[in-house]
Amino acid sequence: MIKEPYYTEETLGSKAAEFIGELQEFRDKHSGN
Amino acid sequence: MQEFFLQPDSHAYIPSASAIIKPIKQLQDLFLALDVPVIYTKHGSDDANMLKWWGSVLRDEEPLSAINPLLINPKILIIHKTQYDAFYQTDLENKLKEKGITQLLIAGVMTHLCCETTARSAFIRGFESFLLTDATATYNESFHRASMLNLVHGFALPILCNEAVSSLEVADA
Repeated sequence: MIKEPYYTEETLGSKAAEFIGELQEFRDKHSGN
Repeated sequence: MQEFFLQPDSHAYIPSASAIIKPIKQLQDLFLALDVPVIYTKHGSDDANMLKWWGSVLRDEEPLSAINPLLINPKILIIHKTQYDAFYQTDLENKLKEKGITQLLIAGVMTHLCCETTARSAFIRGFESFLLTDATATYNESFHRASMLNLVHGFALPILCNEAVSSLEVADA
């Protein structure tokens, strides 16, 4: 099992913001059937 | 969030979990101030399949079963669950429907196990779910990312804590 601190208190805000942009882009690209 | 996931000497320790305590606390404080229900799940089980899969199980009487003291609040309803799915053999669905709740904000750990399974289960029960991207965590970024990508395609929408706060404040205005 690989465990990693991909979120820390310092990086949480920036990483999550970057990630949600990616998720929204992914969702737009793959929405529908 | 249970100590099982926060203590470095626990085999279920999640290195990123401590980083999401603060945003969860901020969000729950706002929810409670606005009388929006906050529900915690507490996992504890002797389930044979869980034991077979993981090699050990977390039981209710173990100290690591406790919810992190920073998050404890008497206004929070605690649902005991035995599976990843918080709806499975619990009264969560009834509690939500009694309160007229149709939308869920899901936070906590682990993104790809309990959060994901509960979001899928919520969907098939007719709830609209939102996954808090900055208030969920799991063992590593690959699991977190894979889970979120699957969920946003068919089960739940991603949202940041500050977006959830803005939505609540607008709704309360």
